[in-house]
Amino acid sequence: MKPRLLFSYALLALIAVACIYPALWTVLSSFRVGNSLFSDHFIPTAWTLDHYRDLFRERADRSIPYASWYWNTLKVATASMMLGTLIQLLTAYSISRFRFKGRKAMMMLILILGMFPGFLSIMAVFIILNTIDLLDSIWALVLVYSAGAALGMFVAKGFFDTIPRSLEEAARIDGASHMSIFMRIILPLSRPIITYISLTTFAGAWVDFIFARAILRTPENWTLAVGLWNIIDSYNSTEFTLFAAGCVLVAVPITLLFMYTQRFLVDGLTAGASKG
Amino acid sequence: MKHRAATAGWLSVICAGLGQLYNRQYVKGLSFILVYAAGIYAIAAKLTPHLKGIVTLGEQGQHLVKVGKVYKNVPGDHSIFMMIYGVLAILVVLLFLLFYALNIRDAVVVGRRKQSGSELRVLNSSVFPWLLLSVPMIGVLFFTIMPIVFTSLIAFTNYASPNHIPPKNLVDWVGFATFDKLFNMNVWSNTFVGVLSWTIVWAILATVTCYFGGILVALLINQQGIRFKGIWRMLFIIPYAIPQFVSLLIMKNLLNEKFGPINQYFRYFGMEGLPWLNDPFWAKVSVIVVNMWIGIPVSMILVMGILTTIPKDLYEAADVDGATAWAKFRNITMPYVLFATAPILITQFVGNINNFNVIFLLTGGNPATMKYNNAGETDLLVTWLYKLTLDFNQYNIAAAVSILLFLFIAAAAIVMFRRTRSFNEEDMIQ
Amino acid sequence: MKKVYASTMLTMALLLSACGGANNGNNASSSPSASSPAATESASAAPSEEAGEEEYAPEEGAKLVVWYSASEKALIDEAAKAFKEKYGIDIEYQDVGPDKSIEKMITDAPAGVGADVFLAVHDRLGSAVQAGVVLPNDLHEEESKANNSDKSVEAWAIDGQLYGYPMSVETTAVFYNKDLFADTNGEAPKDWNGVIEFAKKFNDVKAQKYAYMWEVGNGYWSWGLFGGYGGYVFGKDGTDGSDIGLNSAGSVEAAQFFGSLKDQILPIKAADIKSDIKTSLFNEGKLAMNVSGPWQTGEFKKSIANLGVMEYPTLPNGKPMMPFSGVKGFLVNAYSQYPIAAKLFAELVSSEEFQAKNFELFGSLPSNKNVAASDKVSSDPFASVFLKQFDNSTPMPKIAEMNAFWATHEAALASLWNDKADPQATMDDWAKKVKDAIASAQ
Repeated sequence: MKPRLLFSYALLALIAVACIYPALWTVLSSFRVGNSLFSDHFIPTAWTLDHYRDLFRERADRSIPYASWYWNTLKVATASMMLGTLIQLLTAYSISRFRFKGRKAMMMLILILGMFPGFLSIMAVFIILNTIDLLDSIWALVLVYSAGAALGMFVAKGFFDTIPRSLEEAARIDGASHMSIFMRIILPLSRPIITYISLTTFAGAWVDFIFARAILRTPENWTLAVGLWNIIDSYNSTEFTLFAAGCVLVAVPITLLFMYTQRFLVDGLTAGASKG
Repeated sequence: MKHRAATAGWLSVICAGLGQLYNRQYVKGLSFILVYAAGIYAIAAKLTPHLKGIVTLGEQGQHLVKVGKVYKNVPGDHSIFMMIYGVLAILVVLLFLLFYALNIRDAVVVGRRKQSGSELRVLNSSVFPWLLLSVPMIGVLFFTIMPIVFTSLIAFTNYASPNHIPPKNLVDWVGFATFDKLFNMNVWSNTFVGVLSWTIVWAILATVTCYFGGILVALLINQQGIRFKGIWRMLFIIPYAIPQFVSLLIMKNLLNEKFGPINQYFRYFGMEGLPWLNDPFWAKVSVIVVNMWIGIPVSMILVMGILTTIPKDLYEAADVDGATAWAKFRNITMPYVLFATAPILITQFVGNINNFNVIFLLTGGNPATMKYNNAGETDLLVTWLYKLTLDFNQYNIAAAVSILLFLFIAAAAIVMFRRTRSFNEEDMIQ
Repeated sequence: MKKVYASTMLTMALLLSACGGANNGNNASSSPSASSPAATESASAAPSEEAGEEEYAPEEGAKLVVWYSASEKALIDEAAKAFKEKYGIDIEYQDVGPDKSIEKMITDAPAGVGADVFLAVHDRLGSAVQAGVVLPNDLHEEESKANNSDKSVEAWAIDGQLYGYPMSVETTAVFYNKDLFADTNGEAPKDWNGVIEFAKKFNDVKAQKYAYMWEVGNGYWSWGLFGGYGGYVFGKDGTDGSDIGLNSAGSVEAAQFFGSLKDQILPIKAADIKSDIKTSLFNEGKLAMNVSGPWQTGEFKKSIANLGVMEYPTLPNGKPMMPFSGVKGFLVNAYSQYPIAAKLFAELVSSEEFQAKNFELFGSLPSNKNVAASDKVSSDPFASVFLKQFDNSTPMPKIAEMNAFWATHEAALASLWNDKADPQATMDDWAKKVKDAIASAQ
């Protein structure tokens, strides 16, 4: 028993180091003096908070409206989370709960469409948004994220499948309408899955840079992912430590959120996997 | 009275809404007539040029005219815009035809019911799901289906740099010439076959490693006698929680052969280190290993969730029989976990075929190679598509490849999903 | 059933409005010609009165958007102030770097969301003209030609038609840390034999000390060797896409020398040399000679006490190296609603005054002859060297076929460098690859 446990602990510790190391490296880099991520020392020889200050400072030589990127990202992520979650729940609910003509075909369609690599539709989306005059607006981004939300409905459907029908039937005998059954019986039971979906849609919008880069054209409207990407994606870009500082501020809230809600993550993923 | 249904039907054929009026559904009838009129007007007046446009794709591109000393821009036909408007117009026409057909059906159904004198039952439970689905469907129609149709159409044109880039140049329909090029022109076909093979190898390896890695880690934590389970789990979730564009770009720096810290540690122990991202073989190993770093937490969470659902009495019964720990693991835990998580393998497999982030951010498809056209050694089909469209503007080839990719994924997914419980046994769960 | 109809109608309404919007979009894109009668009138009036730009007044109510790199935004701020004073027109600045502006313009211009005036590097001009998104430099053609160096004007013209408003030139040269050349009184070796000799003493792989470093795997940075040996990418000064010179005798000789350098001076794989690593080593005094461009002068001055810059070392055959160079300049969007105002701004910001300012603020090398000859520039120990190197440089070819070069350079250079592949075979292969890539896009 003893040696096996010891070995297990050693293995766990090793994995833990592997998990934390890159994160720690980023954090330490963000306090490093100079511009380069590369360094001989794991722990910086000289520490500075300048990179964090630079993110929020007006600079003559480079405009990095980090605060407005942060605010934009919050708006986009929150709005797409609410809209996307609602759409996904409605889709999943109707597919899980009702037996109607064309249902199987619909499921198949959703399944297949969900597999189309999203960025291939960028050009068409760009032109559509341009036509309805929504290009370069963060709400267009919300629209695009939410429009595709229905395609991720299988996890939620799997969850709804597990809610016994007898509950609804009892309510229906009492004369409840479809809508009130959904609102009063199904939703309260679905807290874990709602949390899970909200979390993943929020995180999805928080980190996406492919669509955001195509749709948002002016720096003031950018989201964090686009802005940070732009800091290092230029032929004469040199501010890698600034990038690291920006990344830390992006990653910390979302990481904490995941940690805090990991119970729901477990529930949601399990529901989606075993039943979906 | 006998031909009531037929009469109503024919009236609605002549003009939507007439049948409904005949059936004494006045509000419905009037609104149908309005929609019908609006639709006919829109098609005749507004949509015809767009419908024509998708056929011709324009006659005269943008050009400059010299007036005196200055050149003036004369905007011409933009083939790609015309194509999208054409697709939108076709959608409108199709929806109008759907409305027209439903209108006739409605007139007949209502008429028949009036005929038999039965009550006008509210068809609530078959309509309600469609009502719920209508909003998501509109979104999907505009932002998923329309773009897919558009992309597919591009494959049949010559839309590519340098000679056919609007607005100055027109794009033309070329039939299957693009596919011909993709399969028969060595430069393209070699790349396609090479990238496709690596995509499949990658998808299989990435899926299997993450899946079994996740099971392993979950079991490791869940062993009897291991303490602080919650803390271990929390630590192992970190890679999943950090945004990928952050962690992968960092990884890229960590793995630099000469200057990256990983190899510096190797050297500290007197070893040479590995050409992580420089050598075609090791670069492939690296992306799979890094993908494990990102993917294992998800599988781990999953398996840990499933472990808690294994009925305790199974183990108790086994204890009564005096089973060893290993026997319990082999005969209860493992089969249970495998059975419960099998469907996720399919999703992960498809996800990995389309795993854009890992490759794009970690290697960018490199190491570069002369073997391929516009692709590197670790490029997957998706990242190659990205380069083809955004870097090299070879839109038609990219569209052709994406059609093939899409067909492949769809076929595989349908075959596999047909066998899962989600489709076949879902009503048995309750 | 009613609800099905409701949703069908809603969808149709959406679609219709989208198509309606489409019409609006078309109108919008055609409006520049309609809404600028002033331009047409003044244009037709122009030939009769000896064409001076005074008659070309900016459009009523004009407002311009300018794309420029974020790190040098201050220049646009200054120019905008002057422009506002002169014409009362506001300038809105957006962060789009010159390396990406033309690609973005090709999608954005016809959609009506492109900037009116933007900075670009000349090597993408071919694509921009091919796509029809830029207007020629017609109003100020004579001034531009007269005031800027021939090489920079040539870079911005295609088939004899001038498009850009030349702004600055850019090439690469060798920075060195004088303190590391104590033996030679702070003088770095001027030829390759000297560099190799120096590397033998200086290089220390364990301590990561290197004598000379450049981004080996990148065609832009490595071209100096190839150009120096008389190699070329495309014939006729880079305008003939059918004449590929990558396997010409000079290119092969260069490839031979290039491949031999890894063991002699820089034992690092091509892809591992990144600009930030190079910069960092140089700043820490571990790298003696660093190949870079004028945009890093300011940064290096801060971190290195005794900084020097020199032209590329002379090749073993006695010839100078010929690196690629780029000419930055302003272009006017063909879809601009205010083309005259846009041209006036492009002319103003690329004028002598602002090129001088650009040099003062960021050390950018002027393309304007007067500014280049001014005391400030010619006495500057850094700018003068870069300008001399610019005279000894090949402007990057700007024909669309160049894409095939950029699609293959990393692979070819990596196999020459990392794998020490046979020079003749590799260069033949590279030339064939470029030819195939050009054919595959036809």
